[in-house]
Amino acid sequence: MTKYILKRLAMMVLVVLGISFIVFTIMSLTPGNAAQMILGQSASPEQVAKLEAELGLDQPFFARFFGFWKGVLQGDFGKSYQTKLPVFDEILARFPTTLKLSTFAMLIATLIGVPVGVISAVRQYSIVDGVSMVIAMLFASVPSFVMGLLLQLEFALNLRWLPATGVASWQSYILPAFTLSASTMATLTRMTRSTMLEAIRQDYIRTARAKGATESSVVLRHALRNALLPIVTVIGVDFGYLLGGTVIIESVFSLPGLGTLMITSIRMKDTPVVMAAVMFVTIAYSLVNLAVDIIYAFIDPRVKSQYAKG
Amino acid sequence: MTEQEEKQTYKKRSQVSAVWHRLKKNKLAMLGLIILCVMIGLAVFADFIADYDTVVIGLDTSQRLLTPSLEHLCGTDQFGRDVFARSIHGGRLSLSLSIISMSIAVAIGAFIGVVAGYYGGRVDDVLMRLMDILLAIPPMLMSISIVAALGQSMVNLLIALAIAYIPVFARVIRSTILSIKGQEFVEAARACGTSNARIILRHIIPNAIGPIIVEATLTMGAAILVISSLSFMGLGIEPPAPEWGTMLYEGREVIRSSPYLVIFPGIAIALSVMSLNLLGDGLRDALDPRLKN
Amino acid sequence: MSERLLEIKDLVVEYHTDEADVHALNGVSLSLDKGETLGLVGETGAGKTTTALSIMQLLPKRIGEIKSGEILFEGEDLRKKTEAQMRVIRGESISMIFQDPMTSLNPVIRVGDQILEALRLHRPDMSKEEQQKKVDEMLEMVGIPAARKREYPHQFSGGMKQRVVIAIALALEPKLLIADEPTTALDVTIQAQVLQMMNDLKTKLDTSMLLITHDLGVVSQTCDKVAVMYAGEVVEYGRAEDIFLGKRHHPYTDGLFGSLPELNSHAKRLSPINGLMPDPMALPEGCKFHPRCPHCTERCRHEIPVIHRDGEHMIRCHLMDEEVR
Repeated sequence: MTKYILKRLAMMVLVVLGISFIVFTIMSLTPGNAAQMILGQSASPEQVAKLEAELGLDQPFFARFFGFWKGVLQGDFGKSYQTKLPVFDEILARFPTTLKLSTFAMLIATLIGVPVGVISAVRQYSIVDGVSMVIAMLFASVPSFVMGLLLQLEFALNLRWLPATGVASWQSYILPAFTLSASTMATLTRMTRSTMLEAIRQDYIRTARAKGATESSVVLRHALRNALLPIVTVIGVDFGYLLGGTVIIESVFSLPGLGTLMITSIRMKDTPVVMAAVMFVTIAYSLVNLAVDIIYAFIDPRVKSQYAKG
Repeated sequence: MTEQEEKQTYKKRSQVSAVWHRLKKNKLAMLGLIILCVMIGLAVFADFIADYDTVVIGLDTSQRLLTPSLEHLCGTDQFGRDVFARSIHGGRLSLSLSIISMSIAVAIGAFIGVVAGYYGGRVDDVLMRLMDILLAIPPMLMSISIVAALGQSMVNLLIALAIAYIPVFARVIRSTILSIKGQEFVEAARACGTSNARIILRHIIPNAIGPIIVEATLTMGAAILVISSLSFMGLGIEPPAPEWGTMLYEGREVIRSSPYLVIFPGIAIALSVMSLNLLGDGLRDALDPRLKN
Repeated sequence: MSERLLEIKDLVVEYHTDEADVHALNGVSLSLDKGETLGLVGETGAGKTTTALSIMQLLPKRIGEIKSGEILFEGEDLRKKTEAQMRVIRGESISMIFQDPMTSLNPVIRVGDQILEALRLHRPDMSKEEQQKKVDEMLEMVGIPAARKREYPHQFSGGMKQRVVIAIALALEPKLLIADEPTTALDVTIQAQVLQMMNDLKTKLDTSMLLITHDLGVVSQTCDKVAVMYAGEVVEYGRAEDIFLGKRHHPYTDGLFGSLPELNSHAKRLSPINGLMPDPMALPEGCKFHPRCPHCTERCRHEIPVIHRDGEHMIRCHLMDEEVR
């Protein structure tokens, strides 16, 4: 098990290295120049060259790439070209908002999606099932920014129940987190329903019934535990979508998160900020997926013995 | 046509008709298909239904922010443009862009998936690690980043979408191929001395086509969402082009007084995504009847 | 005269699917006395498993429906029991072993806990230690070291899994054990072992058994009585001697025996039954076996045959009329 986790962590290092290289390449090869961006179009070529030298942009590609990594290994992500502030501080100021938002959204999606999916499966073809499937279909199809705008209009601007923008209090997270959770909630509901239906058909469910087990024990103890594996997988994968989806939600609700920082930095060719932001998101996503894979082992003993082997 | 070939075409046709027969019974999938056909029809015949030049370009600034009426089915925006006309013309952009980006992703993803799945070993390892790296970045974030880096243009939007979805297809196709590869009919073909290319073309591709179609349908829906999201962020199609996301971006400013400017393009996006999702789910069930009892 | 444990009278079961109504059981009557083993024989789709699931009241919800008939267990009609009453009967008085041991055990629960569950449900008064002791005892009884109770199903072979399934089924010493093709999915050598063990345990615990199988060899070794099923009907029923040694049979029973290879016979070929089981959505008129029957007459095509009795031996065939005459 430990061996497996170590292997996965090593893999994660590779992924982060690979991604940082790809991002660095894109940032270097795409049109635009950070120094020009800062100084504006009216700046003279000499001024631009001087600033480039200051920022180290005149050095060759690989020198800059390894320079960046050398800094990272010493715990220094460099300074933003734009603000001249340490990148790490800026990221630390904004990452919690994004992380809170996506975690909160994932909690809402799981706590509503999974139980509704289970009920829909147990009461297949009932009214509850029909209604929840229609709602799930809607939630999966309405773009998050449309839902965000409409929720904002109704609950913040018209009814004035919740703040429309900013992160002044925990209430500020309710609308954005719910909006962000909608599509994952839909996926989880549908996924839970179909895997539960699949699980309920299995022979071991008949064995449990033949023992005289109660319906709730059959559903929760026997079926749900077996259906949990694909559900947990969806939670892991969608956590990545949520981290990415926050970009849009942050813009709708004007939240100071990592997403908006990343977009402006990409446009301003602020490579150090972009690199650090992408790496934070990637590491968070990879860690969540590693956690998911470890949870697998606790849900399914067959997976555990597989991990033990290699 | 030899008897053998005759038998094969017969079998193929009957498989397609069996899938169609099962799909026809699925009311939700048929609903999706009908909505999709209507959306495509509106997009294709947009010029006949509402001439863009007269109702949108030849705008009458006195007719600003009109609420929906018989004359303007979905009202007009702050520039006096007919929202219904813009919505159906916007369908052209959204639908064609999603089809094109999906096709690029399918073609490249299928190629990578086939190569990785069929040859296995080192080739598989390298390609799949590369896909893993791409998949480690969420598609929405990936396309937003690529467009932000490359600059805002339609071509860059297509590139961004294609790159974001290539790994998805590569994975689906690879796993289908791995499951088919071990099956006896492929072993049998190999035992008969059939060449690799022929095995891939004659035996593996026809069997992988089902999952590809399902995934492509669902990806088209996802692509429509990403395109409109990018436009909404000001990174996709630039105004004044009538794109659903762009319309929402513009409508946002007056959302309090005229929410219908957000609602109608929103409905257009939701309907097209929903129809594709319903159809995709229906196709999946129809192609794999074991999943349904 | 021994005591009657189970009696099924005129059981009719239908499955409702999207396409059509499937006539799974068309008036099945059976009986089983205490301590006896009844073999239920027939091809796939004859309605054997449906009969078993009807007794357990575990037909698939919404799809399976008992239209009419009685299922008397110790004189009480199980159809009239509530779900809560049935839960007490299941496991406690009647338990069931399913065909495929590979899938009958829950893959994510330790085997010991799966046996324990039956005890917890039906013996809440037993202390935890007593329950654990019983689990150990049951495992040893089916020939598995008690130490393995902490393992998961995937760590067991097919034969071992079926032993665990049997341990679960017998943990509460039920009065009736329904075994649905318990050995079909196992290797031949393991089949014999498991069958032998089931027979021994059955005698030891004084359990009656309803053994569903399509293997006539198994029936001859274990059963006191045999019911031959075809297309949702019992076409022949009798003591094992009647079926295996008797002279008069339903043509279908003859067909089943004709399909068996015999080492000591000089016949060069098997004589299998031609054709396939009729589609249960569109059963033939008259005798349901007539399209495949080598002795089919005009009357068989239109008239449903009645049951002919000779003591306990019953045959549902028009041919018997002529022989009686």
